[in-house]
Amino acid sequence: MNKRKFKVEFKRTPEQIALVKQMGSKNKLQSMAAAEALAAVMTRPILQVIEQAPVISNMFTTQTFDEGTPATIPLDPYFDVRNRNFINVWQQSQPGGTAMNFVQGATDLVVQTYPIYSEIAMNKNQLRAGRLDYLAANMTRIVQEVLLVQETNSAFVLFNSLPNARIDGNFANVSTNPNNLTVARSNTAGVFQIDDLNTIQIGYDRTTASWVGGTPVNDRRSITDLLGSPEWMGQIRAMAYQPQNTRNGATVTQGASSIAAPESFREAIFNAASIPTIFDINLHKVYEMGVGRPYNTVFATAAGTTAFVGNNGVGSATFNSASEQIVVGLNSDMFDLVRLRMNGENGEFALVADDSQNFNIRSDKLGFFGGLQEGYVSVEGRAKYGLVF
Amino acid sequence: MSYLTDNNTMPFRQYAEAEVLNFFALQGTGLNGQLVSILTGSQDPALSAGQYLTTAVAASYTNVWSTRYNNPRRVRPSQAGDTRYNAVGITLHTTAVYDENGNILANQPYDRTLERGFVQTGFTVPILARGIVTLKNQCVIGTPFPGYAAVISTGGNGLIEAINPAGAVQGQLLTGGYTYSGNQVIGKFLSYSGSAFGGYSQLKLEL
Repeated sequence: MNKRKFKVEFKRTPEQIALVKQMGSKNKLQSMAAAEALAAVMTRPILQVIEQAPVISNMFTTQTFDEGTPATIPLDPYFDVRNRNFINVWQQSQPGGTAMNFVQGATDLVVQTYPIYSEIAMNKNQLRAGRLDYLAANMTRIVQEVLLVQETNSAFVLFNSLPNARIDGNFANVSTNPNNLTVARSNTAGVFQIDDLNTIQIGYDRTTASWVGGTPVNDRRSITDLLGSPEWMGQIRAMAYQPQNTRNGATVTQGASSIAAPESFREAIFNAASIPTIFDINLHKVYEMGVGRPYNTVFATAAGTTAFVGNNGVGSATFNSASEQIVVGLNSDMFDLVRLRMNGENGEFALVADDSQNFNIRSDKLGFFGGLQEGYVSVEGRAKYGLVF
Repeated sequence: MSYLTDNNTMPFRQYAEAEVLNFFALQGTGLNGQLVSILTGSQDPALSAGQYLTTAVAASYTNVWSTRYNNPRRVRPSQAGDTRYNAVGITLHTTAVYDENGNILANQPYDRTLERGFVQTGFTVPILARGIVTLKNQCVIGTPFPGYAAVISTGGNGLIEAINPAGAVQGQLLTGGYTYSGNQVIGKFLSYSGSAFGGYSQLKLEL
């Protein structure tokens, strides 16, 4: 039994085939025993597929809580020491007590977790025939149904936290200062080019990296991942043959704003099969992003009337979902996107052979239901930086 | 959950689990034992799994996004004009924001709220479509009597009215100046009103 990235698969060994045939038995006790044995060993492979296959929910760090305990995240320990006035270095004479940074524990973030369950019914005659692929396809279907809900929900959190982030932590401070937002616009409307990658990186550097009197030393304080539409990925590929400079030189000559990227850069893009990284940033293609696509609409609704910086940094304008799309940059090294999942009796994913009245002997069907309980949150909106183009 | 304050269904009941629907959330809050009808709009089956709202679960912090989860497929308390066809059944759990101790349910373990008969607002509430339940008299208008018809009350609020079918004229049930038709009958009462807990009765629900 093994798994691939996107679906559940079984090895065709005599033992596996025998187990599947036993699941299809008309002897209820034998059938249930085999089904329960399968359920016991399948939870881990299914969970692995669930954690590997998706795009956006993969960006969330999984934290677990035990069944029967509150689903909360204590925020205090995660406050960055670089937050202004958080840390004080002091010195004193030897006698006396020491001061400390005290964790108040007052900011307990409540996360609403919810069950995501699916159930399937399989025909026993297919199992009696030893059809391992049939079993694997049904297991994959459980996975896909869970994944669908996970992707939709995690995307909602991602695309809502982005326009609601405020660099100075003051939610009201946007009306006259769009630079307090973590969303910028491209140099040229409808075009994504190297200059825009630069804009994202500079913008993010000015979002979290600096605090009064210091510069990051140890960890990476930069965008690690970019999420965008297939069209956006197309514009990345287009860097191989489109002009990339955005300003003329001191002496205006013909073609002054039509200079291509360096040969070696273009060659690298030509030769790259899928262009997974650029400027050491991982690129992710998300089919639901792009003009007219669902996540663009989610972002547009979340942004509402918030005015972002205009093209080339001039003026400001609201997001126009009919002609614009969002590219999302994430710092996955930062504690931000969290998936809080319940760890129950059967682990994080519960797969159970269903013995209900739907699956009696006469129906000649076998059922499994499975799922998990989890919730998604963003605990630091400033770990992202978006760009509208 | 206290049977005195948070519950309108008594322990005695008999039904098959297959008659319990887990598709809908209750609009707003409400004690169990409430007759509910389908709220039109947002009944796309694809929405059953639920989705996030933009309201914070509890305390709200800038740069932190943790919002409420919600099943958009809703039912509402049955009201005048409803029929047995848009009525779905009787809620088996109490939909609430706070428990009997005044603690917010969203801050408690999910399974802990369920096992006490609570459902957080916006979450799917189990609804019984057919079977026998024991309802407190708060759920019933009129005096329950064995063999009386149970109809959707014109008083709204998901109440059930006990009507003597002897007064039926061509399928029309007459009571208190109102006329009920056969398509508003949701079941029958099997008992008198018990004396404890302010009165209760057994209802055979047939939807």
